Amino acid sequence: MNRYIVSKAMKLMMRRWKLHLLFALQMAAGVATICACASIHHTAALQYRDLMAQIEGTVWDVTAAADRPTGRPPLDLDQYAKLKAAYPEASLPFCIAHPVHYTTDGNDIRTAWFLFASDDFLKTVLRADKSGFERGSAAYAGDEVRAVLDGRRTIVHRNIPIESDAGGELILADGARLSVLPMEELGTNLVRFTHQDLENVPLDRVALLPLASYYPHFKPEDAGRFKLSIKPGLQADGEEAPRSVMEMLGLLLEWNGKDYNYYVRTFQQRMLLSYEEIRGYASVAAAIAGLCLAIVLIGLTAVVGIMFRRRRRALAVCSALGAGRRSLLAELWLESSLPSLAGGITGAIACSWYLSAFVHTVTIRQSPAIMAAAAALSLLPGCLAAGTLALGIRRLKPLEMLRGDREWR
Amino acid sequence: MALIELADGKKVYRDGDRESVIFDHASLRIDKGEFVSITGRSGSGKSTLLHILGCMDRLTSGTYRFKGAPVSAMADGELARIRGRHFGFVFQSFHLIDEFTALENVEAPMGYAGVPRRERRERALELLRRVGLADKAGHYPARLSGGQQQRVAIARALANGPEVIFADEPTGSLDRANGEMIEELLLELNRQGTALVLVTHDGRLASRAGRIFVLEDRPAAGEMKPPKMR
Repeated sequence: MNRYIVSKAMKLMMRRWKLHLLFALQMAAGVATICACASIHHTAALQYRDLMAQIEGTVWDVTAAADRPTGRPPLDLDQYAKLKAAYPEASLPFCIAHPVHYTTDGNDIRTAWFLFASDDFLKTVLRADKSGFERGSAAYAGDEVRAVLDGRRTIVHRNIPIESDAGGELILADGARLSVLPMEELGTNLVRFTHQDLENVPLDRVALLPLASYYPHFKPEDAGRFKLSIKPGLQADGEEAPRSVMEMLGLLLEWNGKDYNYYVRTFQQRMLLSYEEIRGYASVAAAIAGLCLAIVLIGLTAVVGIMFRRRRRALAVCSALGAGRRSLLAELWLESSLPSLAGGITGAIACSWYLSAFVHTVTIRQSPAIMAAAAALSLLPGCLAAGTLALGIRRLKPLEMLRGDREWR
Repeated sequence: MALIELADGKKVYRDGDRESVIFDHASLRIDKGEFVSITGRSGSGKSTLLHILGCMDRLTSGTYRFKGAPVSAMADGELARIRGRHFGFVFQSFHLIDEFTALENVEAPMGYAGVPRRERRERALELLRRVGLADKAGHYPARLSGGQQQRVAIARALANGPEVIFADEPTGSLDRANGEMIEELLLELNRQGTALVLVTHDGRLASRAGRIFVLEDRPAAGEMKPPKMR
């Protein structure tokens, strides 16, 4: 582009600085609004997506509480099997956890956990695929637990239905025998639990026993030890997962509602709903902002158009002085685009500053791409006007302009 | 070789189905350094012809050659280049750019022709000096009188050292004193070797031309000899 054209456009801009400043300020305000709305929308969308991902991978923990002591467990083996059959995609880690307190050589009191667990529990929590474990006769025990069972540690309080242990076998109160295998045979890479109340319990202080072996020994006070987790299948997205969980709770209440209440952690669900609401507001805000921008763009394009129509005679003079149509168009485009681009960039920067400095209740995630796109929008009026002008300039007849006897259409 | 050669030129304006013939069978030859005036009644197509000769409009039919090159076949960019480098224009209404100072107005044609800034400035100042307006270089058109504006317009027309100056009623908007001053300035330029094509109603001014080209109201045109006054 001829340097003269650039300097002429700049000069004309400076001479009409009031008009261009007004133009730039309008554009800055429009871009700042768009930018803010788009950033809020972007933030809500990202957080919603993150939350969806969290919920998709979330294990929903269900606990039970009895209104009065009852001889029925909160979830029996048949019901558990029915749940699994009804939701084959879901994973239902289930365990009944019994703590056993023992003393070490140094007389410290420690706690070991005897977990009557389901196959899904092993699979989900320990990544161990031991199909049939929950109804089998094998148990897995960590080193510390085996030391307890061997009598190398002294049990302070025995709250489990284990009668005795001998020669690598556990004998339960009903006479059932379980062979005890080292925990390492599960092949797990875990060192500590990261599940429910067992968080950070070292694996060597854990014994895993088949779920079915517990039921003959159920006592009403054990109801609180039932820990059912629900992990809706991978196919269930953030919106479907809560629905599945609620359906399962409905089944539990249908079966055992007379004796038990069930509780599920719903924090994520509440968050999800609140983000859905925020996203809804943000979408409305973005739509309004988009409409405003469209109006601003149309208005500014018309202003640019009028501004240049008034100069049609000057264009004709320039044409007579040797300016080609391309030069004229470049000149007009520069003159209209530079102030609006400056306004657009100012608006994007102002929006970024405002969101960082004054919006503390929500962390707005600002995206350079959104800022750049919003600033680039400011070029639209120039381009739209330039497009119209290009058509006008194609038909430009210097003669008619200079004589002023016909309107330039 | 003639500087400008128009043969059997015809110009028709179309407005929907209506056609109006502005002129027909117009033939004209202008040599280097010549002074030709174009006269005729209002609406006879004088200005149209001038703008066609100045490459600002095109013939409907006929041929127009500038220095032997067929202008009718040229693209818009090429026509703009010819206007900028070989022609100068002086209009009745001056047509200065309001936002530019006198100096910047004179610089404009050189800018479009790609003349470097320093050279442009020096030459523009020299031209303003030549028309007696060096002291008004920084003035905007609104602060100049009609005569001064027309002198700036003449300086601007001379910016790229044109071979032809096209003047469309250059004294039409001026009082007598200023009109005469502009007239003398144009004639002086012609004496220095620049061809001058002048459209005017003023018989006295037209009579000072070497040849007069008369456009009649009817769609026909003919050349007449210079009047006796010469």
